[in-house]
Amino acid sequence: MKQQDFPRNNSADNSGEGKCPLLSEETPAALLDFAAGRLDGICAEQLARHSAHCEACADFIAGQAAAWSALDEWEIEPVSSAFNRRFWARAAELDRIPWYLRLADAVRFGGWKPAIPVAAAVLVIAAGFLMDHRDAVRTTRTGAGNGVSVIEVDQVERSLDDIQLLKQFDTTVTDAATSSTRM
Amino acid sequence: MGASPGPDPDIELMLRVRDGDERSFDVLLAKHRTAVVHFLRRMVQNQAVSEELAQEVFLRVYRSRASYEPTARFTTWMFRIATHLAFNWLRDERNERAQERLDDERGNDLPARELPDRAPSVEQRMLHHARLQEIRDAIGLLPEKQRAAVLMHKYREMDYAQIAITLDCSESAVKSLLFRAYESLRGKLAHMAARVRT
Repeated sequence: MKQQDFPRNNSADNSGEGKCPLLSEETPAALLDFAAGRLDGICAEQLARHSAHCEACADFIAGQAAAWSALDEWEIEPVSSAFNRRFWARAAELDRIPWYLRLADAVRFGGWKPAIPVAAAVLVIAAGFLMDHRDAVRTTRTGAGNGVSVIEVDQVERSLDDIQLLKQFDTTVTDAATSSTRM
Repeated sequence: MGASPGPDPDIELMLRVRDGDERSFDVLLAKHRTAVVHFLRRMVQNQAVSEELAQEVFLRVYRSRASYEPTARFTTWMFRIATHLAFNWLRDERNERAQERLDDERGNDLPARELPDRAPSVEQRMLHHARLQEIRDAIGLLPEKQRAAVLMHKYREMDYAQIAITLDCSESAVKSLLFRAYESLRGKLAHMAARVRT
């Protein structure tokens, strides 16, 4: 029974008994409560007056009451007498189980869903940390590499200067020795 | 959990459990086990599974005793856990059935899964079982959230606010869920009352 199934120009609309709840924008929860006998004083009176004139509401309430009483027939078997004993046995057993197995049990019973955003957050944090850390390492490595090459160039230049000086010194010594031999 | 809790004797009991009084948990068990098992029985439509899930509900409540804070009514919290477990079980069951259907299509000629009712011996009993089966089918065909809303509204007499907290949705969404659910149930069950009257 959909709202639009009811005639829009229902006589109850203009009967002075208030706006038909089935034609209102909101879900007519009041009718459900009324059919279930859970509506209090004034509202219940208003709806009773309204449904006396409104065929659609009267049908709704009758149908709802019928479904309601059918549902009342569904009785459930009593809970097994060992329920409490089994519970305490399981609770005691649970205290002996290591935490990681309990976690696995929680996952088995569908507790894994909240773990997804947590895992995603951990991954993002870890990735951010690693990227940050890698940049730092790269900077250090780059800095160290430049330092070594500068030192090496200096050392080579200094060595070349030293060799040149030694050569000059060697030439001077050789020249002096030659001239002294000639004399 | 949003709602401001009024005076709730269950909260008092749970606070005592938090302080180490296990006998108070026995009281909670005795008080609520039937409601929880019956709710789950109607949700999953299987007696053995409903008791197993109810055990898990109480174990979860018991396990969280040390960190328990009364932020909502005890029953709202408990039924929230129960609903969550029922939804998960139904999801797994649906997946299993889909797999079974695939197996059947491959030539496995297994009978459809039946509810554990025994064959009736007299006509009245047969009729009664047929009616019950009709009711169970009508409930079972509802989408899970609608089913949970109806069971809490009809059998637990929870108000819209409590159901909203339990199902983690707004009150207007609950009203809409209930309206659609009852609309479907009226279509399937209204004739039963007429049959009784005639």
